[in-house]
Amino acid sequence: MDKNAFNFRIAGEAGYGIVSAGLAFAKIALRSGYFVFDYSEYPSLIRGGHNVYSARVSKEQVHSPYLPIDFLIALNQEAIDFHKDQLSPRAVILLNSDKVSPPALKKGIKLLSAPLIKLALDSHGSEVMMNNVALGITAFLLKADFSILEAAIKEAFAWANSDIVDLNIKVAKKGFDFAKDNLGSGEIPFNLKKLETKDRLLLNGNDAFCLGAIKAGCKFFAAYPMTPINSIITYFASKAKELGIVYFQPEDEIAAINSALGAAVCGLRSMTASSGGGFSLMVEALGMAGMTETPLVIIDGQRPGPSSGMPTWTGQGDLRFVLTASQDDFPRVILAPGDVEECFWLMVDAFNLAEKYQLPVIVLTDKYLAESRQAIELIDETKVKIDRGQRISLKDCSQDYKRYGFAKDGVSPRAFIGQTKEPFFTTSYEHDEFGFASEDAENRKTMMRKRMKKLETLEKEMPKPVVYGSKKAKIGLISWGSNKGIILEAQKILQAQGVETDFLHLNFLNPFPAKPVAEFCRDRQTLLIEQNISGQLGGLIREKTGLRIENQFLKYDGRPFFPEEIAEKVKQIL
Amino acid sequence: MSEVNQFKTQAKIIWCQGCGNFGILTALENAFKKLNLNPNQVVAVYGIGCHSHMANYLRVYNFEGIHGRTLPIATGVKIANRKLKVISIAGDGDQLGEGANHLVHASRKNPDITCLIHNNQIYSLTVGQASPTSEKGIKTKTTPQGVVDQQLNPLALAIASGATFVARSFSGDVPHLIKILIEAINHKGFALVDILQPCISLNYINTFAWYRERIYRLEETGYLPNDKNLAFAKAQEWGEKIPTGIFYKEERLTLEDQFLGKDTVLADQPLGILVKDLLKEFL
Repeated sequence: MDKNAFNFRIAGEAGYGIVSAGLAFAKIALRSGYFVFDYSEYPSLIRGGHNVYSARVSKEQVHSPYLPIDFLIALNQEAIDFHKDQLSPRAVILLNSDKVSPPALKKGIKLLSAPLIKLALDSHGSEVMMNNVALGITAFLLKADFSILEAAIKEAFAWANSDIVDLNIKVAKKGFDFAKDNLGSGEIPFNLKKLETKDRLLLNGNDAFCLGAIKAGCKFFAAYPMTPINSIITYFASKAKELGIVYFQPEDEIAAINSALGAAVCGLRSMTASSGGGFSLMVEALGMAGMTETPLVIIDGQRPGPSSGMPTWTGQGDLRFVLTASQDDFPRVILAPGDVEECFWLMVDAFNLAEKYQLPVIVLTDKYLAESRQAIELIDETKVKIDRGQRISLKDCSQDYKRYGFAKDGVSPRAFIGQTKEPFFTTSYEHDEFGFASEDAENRKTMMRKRMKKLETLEKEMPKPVVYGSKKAKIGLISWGSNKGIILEAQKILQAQGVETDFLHLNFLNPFPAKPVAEFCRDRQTLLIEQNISGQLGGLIREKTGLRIENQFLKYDGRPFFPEEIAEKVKQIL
Repeated sequence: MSEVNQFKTQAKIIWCQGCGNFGILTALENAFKKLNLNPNQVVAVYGIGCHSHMANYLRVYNFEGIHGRTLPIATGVKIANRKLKVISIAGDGDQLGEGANHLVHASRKNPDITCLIHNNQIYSLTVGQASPTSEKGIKTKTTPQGVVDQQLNPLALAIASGATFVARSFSGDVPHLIKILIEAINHKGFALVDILQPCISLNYINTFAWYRERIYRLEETGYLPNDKNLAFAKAQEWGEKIPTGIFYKEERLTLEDQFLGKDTVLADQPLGILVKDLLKEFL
């Protein structure tokens, strides 16, 4: 493990620029050659309330946030009160002496203070610029290049005129110089000295979804604003003109999914997104996608429910819901990427599977994955393959074209509305092979079987879930979606303490990989880890394999798991 | 040359004999012919109701969707392929009950869609419940003491919401309906056509005869459809006299014209795209 790895945190009142300071810090770490993983907590408010930004920095890949804080910037009194018990034994605190009185601390913890507001005002800035003063001080203390911070500030204020940009840089420099003159003595046990490395990307799950969808050829995106998918909307809206694609802001989520289906039947790769509440409104049209065999990608950004729940917090409570949403049976694919790289690649898969099998693909994410940034190696886009499935071309589409022909594998070759010589019919009613409404009993049975057959065909090309860890494992960990990185970090902690584990990560949840899951769980000690109260994956495993997982670690307080918690739980069981 | 027969399918028509929907089907076939359209140039999006059986009789690209949601589907189709003529076909319960919110927003967004309301003032497919356009006091299965709600006025709603073409016609006057449909389809923007369509099985008040006694044509009174306030006032007229014709018309940039370059057809664009440059801001 990298001895220089450390955990950075900045905390204070909402409206004090914690989010932008966080992004600037992550960029400094990235561009100084380090891996970084960040995580934000904030209430559903624009101003007031307590905002927290954390970032884990290391020379090695970081997969999740950590609990103990090594470097804390406390902008107000709450920032000390809430976090002082989470400090590591070697922690360094930078305290805003204009707002915070020095606390009693354990021996070994280093306390530095600076009048952040006064320094901002002294350089003709305003109180809200204290975040940049703090960043300037941080850059000096961690031996980072000031020029990297300067570039990050310029990017953050790309919208502003040069006076505002210059003022913010001046304020940061004031902090940097203050630290040089006043805080220079004493060693800090970690730093951000520049390392020579290849360029890396800093993406959160939403960024990776956008890039994956655009790369996959998504031309139509309709979504109504809802936390935590809003940054997908913002990105599409900002790039639409330049890329020749459309972001459509509908009147509600019902219009979102229906307009996306309208675009899809004309041959566009089409997508919608929401959180559980908005997805609930989409459910009737989800069934229509199933019945009309229309390809569609739907992102569900989970957050704690039911109902409005806890809008800015995280959870995994929608699994059972998306598996069965809408009346009667129809084929659907459920994917749940585990990290930002999987967000990119599974988004490409989502569009390919949707078109190849003519069905809705639901991609589950959550607030934690959507908004946490991770540094990753560059994406090689030459590896992206587009597969649009079986289609009927313009000249072949005759008057007796069977849009829903009884194909052996369930997949009837598809044509696009507006692209054929003869028109064809699409209906949400049960229909015959031509798309005419039909209530005939034999036709109904054959058509139901044809649609469901698509899942069996798809199952054959489904990748096997990956097992991470040691062959000598004493316990098998099993989880899905965004817990992946947290469990990988927990495995590292456990290994350092001599506890070998292996971990089955599920990112394809329907069709369900019953065989590999049964092989992993059978006749051994396992631990189910997920973020809901009922153990929804556990229930699914029982349904699909008949196996019951005795040990469960379930969290449903809106916070993600932390690797230390999982390591502790594993040790309790063994 | 386009022929009326081109727009017919082989399916057996199962509407009640004398249903107002026959007039609308005939008028659409004739309007398409007069506009010299081919069946593969038209998309009709239906809701669910008696009207939507038309999806089996009218030979164009039919998309029979779900109740209330014709306009969002039609909007997606139009944005995807603006070469197509897009017609949204729904009943009064469909468009003004579950679909009323979409009507408000399609009116203000102005996609180039023709929106037909088969307005028979009752839920017919579910056999006789009160609809948003049922007249106050009328007894139906859901209102045994008489309708208590105010009757919804689709024309006034569309005008207030910003629709750029608002008209009314009558399924018992097919020549007039053909004329109005041609104007509506030719209008570049969101065109609402409220079609008075008697239900002979369940609505014994608003019958063909009842309408024939009351209907008059706006264009025969020297009315000009270019004044929004006047149109709104005219839309309130109901009872002894019921106006038909074009109430309001204006030119405004369409939704799809604001999204896309003038001649860009999204459905014709290739899928391949390089994201190399997009990645730069994340380095």
